[in-house]
Amino acid sequence: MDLDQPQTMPVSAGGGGGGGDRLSKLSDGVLGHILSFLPAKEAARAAVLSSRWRHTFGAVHTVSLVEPDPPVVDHDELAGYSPGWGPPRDPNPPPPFTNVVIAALLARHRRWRGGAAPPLRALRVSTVGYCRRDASLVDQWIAYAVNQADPAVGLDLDLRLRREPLCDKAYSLRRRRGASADHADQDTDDDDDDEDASRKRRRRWRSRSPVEYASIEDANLGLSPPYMYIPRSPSLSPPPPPPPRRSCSPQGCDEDDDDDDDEDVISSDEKSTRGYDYTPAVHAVPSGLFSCAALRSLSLGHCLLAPPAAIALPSLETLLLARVSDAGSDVQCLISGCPRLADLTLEACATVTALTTVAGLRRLALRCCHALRAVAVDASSEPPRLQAFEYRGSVPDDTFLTIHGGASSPPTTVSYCMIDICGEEVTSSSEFAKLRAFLRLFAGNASSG
Amino acid sequence: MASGSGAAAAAADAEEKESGSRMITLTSNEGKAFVVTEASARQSATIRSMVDDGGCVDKGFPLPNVDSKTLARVIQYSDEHGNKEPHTVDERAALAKFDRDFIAELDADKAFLYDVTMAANYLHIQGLLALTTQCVADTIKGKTPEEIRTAFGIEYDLTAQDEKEIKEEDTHA
Repeated sequence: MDLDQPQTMPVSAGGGGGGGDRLSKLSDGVLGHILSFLPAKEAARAAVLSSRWRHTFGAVHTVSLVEPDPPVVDHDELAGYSPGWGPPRDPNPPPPFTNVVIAALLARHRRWRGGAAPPLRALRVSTVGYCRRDASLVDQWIAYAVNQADPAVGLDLDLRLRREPLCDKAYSLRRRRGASADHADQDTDDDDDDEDASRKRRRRWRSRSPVEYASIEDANLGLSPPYMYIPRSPSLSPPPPPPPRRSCSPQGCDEDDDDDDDEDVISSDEKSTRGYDYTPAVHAVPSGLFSCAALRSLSLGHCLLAPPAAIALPSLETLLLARVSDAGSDVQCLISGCPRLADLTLEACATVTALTTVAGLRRLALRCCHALRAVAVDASSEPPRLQAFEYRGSVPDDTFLTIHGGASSPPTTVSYCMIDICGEEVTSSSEFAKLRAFLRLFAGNASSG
Repeated sequence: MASGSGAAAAAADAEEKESGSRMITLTSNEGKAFVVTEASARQSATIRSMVDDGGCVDKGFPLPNVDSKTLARVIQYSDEHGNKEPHTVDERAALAKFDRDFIAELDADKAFLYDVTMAANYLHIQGLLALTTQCVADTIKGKTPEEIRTAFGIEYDLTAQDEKEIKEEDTHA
């Protein structure tokens, strides 16, 4: 870019193009369209460009905001302070992120050439964490999006209320040795394990843990603890750590998914004797969302769907659910309630054990839903539409996937298939056999496997 | 009577089926005529609604806001997207590649890019509009206001009052 180019002579400037400032001559609608591709912060900053751009944010139809990750905790610096003390607080801390989102949404309605803001096409928000006091504001985002949407143009809503890795199994190309549940702390193995363990320790401080997050909030709020310690009982802990997850810890596990413990590496034995578990606050989606006629694409992460009995999502085509804490049957209810669903993704939904898809689905992606045991794909629509299938997780059983219906038996029209086995390398012959059987489901006319 | 209207409906149906092969004439502001398939022309919501309203398909559509060079490029896009519907993954990938090449070519000539953007906006070709505006947005992304002004030749003309207002707004977000 020609930074040394004088501003008043833009005619021949590389990007300016012939005829001076052509960009600013575009209509408001087009400028709003352009800004809609930018993160809301950058789009709002366009106001300082010139008087032409002063109110262009009002023409934006997509608001996307990503809460920046908290700064990395510098433990060398902290070590210089007495326990409980730390470096001075930022005198001008950034406003709470939930407020930033509301401010961005309201900014669309600032005086803008007398015209009303265009219908909202997309609201995408990703937060680092979520606590109970955020609940009412998050509800307001959703209500705003539902109200501002126009069924003619559709609405894309994407809310991820906590940032976590997809799966706590790390890839490992080594054979499982003495697969016992709990020797995470034993450094009895070879150098590799030492390295693994030390990497774990290094990684765990990358960002503020949820408990820290919660305790900060606690301090701010002074009442109604956002988290609670509950007696450990299998039916109560929402993200139930199923035994297999722990059992892969010796070599495989990445650090815990940061939601259920706050101390250093804890073996599952030690954990169970502590007798309590950290339960993060979960946002319950307002039921009005499930009767939004304009909704075309919905992505929810770390929410409680609690879908109402009557689901009316006539135009929903794309659905992504990540770590929703509903019972599997509720998730199934939602999926069955979307007549036009074409693209379905489930990520780390630990409660879903069985899934039946609707006819007409074109793409199905299942990532690290480790409790999922049976998937029935309805390919009875004519012509069968399922074209793409993605799977990530452990080696599926023979009975995992059934494709039924349709004149042509199993081999469907799947032309794209991605299988990704997480955790340790598959070495045993029985697993290979299972994998082979699984892949054969798509072998008919699949171009890749 | 009833059978007569039935036949008319059947004829309309047949016409509807044939519409893929029906040709439509678009005329640029320089008077140059472009003949395109109806499927291609239907990429434009503006033309689509005119055709559906039973407009003068035979006479063609004059487009007073679009010059020949821009219209030729717009037609190149809508031919690619209108005449074939991608069914397989490969076909979709081919179309995505076409889009990439198409926008890369336009990106080299910013003035022309704006012409195409305006034409896409005028004709309501959503896909093309998204493609071109995304391209401009990519240029803006990650730049400071000063850099953006330089890149696009935007003249700074905010008053002190404006600046104060913006500052106030900014403290809230």
